[in-house]
Amino acid sequence: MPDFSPTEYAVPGFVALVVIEMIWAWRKRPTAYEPKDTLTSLAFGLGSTVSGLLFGGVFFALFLWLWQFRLFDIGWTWWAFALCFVLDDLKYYWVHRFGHRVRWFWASHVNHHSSQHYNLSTALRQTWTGFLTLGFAFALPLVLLGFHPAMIAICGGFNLIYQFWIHTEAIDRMPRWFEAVMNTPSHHRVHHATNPRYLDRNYAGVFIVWDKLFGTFAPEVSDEKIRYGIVKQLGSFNLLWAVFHEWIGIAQDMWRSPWKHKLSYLLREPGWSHDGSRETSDQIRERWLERQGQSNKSVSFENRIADEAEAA
Amino acid sequence: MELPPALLQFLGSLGAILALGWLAYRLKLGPAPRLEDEAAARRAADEAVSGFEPVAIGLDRDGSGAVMRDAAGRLLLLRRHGVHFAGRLLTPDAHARIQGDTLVVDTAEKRYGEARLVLRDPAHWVSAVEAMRG
Repeated sequence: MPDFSPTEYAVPGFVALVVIEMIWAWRKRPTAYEPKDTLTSLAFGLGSTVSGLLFGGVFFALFLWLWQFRLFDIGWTWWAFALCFVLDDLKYYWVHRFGHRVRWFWASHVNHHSSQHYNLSTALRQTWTGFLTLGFAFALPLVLLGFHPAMIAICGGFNLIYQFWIHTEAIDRMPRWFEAVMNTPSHHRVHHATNPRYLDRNYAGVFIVWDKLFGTFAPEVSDEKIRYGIVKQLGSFNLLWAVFHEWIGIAQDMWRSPWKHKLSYLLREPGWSHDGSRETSDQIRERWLERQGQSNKSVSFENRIADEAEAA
Repeated sequence: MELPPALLQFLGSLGAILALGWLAYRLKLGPAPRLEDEAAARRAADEAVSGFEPVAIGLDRDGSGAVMRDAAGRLLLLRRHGVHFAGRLLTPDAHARIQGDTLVVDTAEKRYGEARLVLRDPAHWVSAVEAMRG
């Protein structure tokens, strides 16, 4: 079993690329970075490695124990690595989708989204509390199929490294064939956007085909400015608040709500409330679409020429 | 004394983080944003709360924030957060007061805190905020 962590080797490259992107920002777009935001995001990254060291071993030991009950003996071959990488990316898609659709998982994953910036430092804004969710359970089928837990961990590391470079506004679009198959800066900008049309879209890690397959793909439109972050922006650079705010929110909601609704605040989608006082991403999108419909109707009523031009 | 590799890695990463934060500061990245006019405030309001259409706007003289009311009577506060704006729909827990020529709106949300706005007719907005308390 090789003792190899690809992300550790990638760290100097991460730092170098952040420096390069900062120089790009200095020359072209000074709003792309903000020192306090950068410090918060990078502190998230450092904390998540500590958290991984403290708790990752427990899950690895669990996987090793389960591996003895595997269905197949899959060796350390190139094709096993390739297959493991693809299946691990499929696993990532579903963990990630749950990370957005179940508040329990979101409480951890929200950390990655709570910056209003979208730059390479945002990529390193990783959770400290992933161990509190059931994300590890999504890897169990891979273990039981027979992929060695170390191979899964290595593939997960490369997956994470791939996702680093797509957190940027410095790259517009990649070649068409690449955009069709791979996750790209354009696709992932959509994922980090809070514009109603983009909410809960493009969950992919490496291959965007999963979103196309499971109906969650949205392309980036060129005439709409993207705003990043979360629906209710943090409004604070306090690191500890940024780490734990959603967990605290869940605890408060469960404490205050009637008994029959308590679990829903943990298991239902973010934004759900028993009294309808908040909005989920689906509701935000629906209402936005209604407003768009109304404004389109009024435009075509007032401007028949525009309407005819559309028909032609 | 030899440091354990994990601690050495931690300290190295911490040093890199501080260096990158310093670089962002030295390059003067992250200029403060400004709400130039009411149209900008409207756009920022819609970004903060999708579909929020203000019918009354109290815009800070320097564009550092705004307080707005929509047709449903909801009050939205916008204030700078880094190079962006962060908004909050005010709840009955919010307070407002006037200090000199400044309207101070406290959201009662500890981490979001309060906003200080210099605008026309601050008394009107104090009344509007206090009216939410019933």
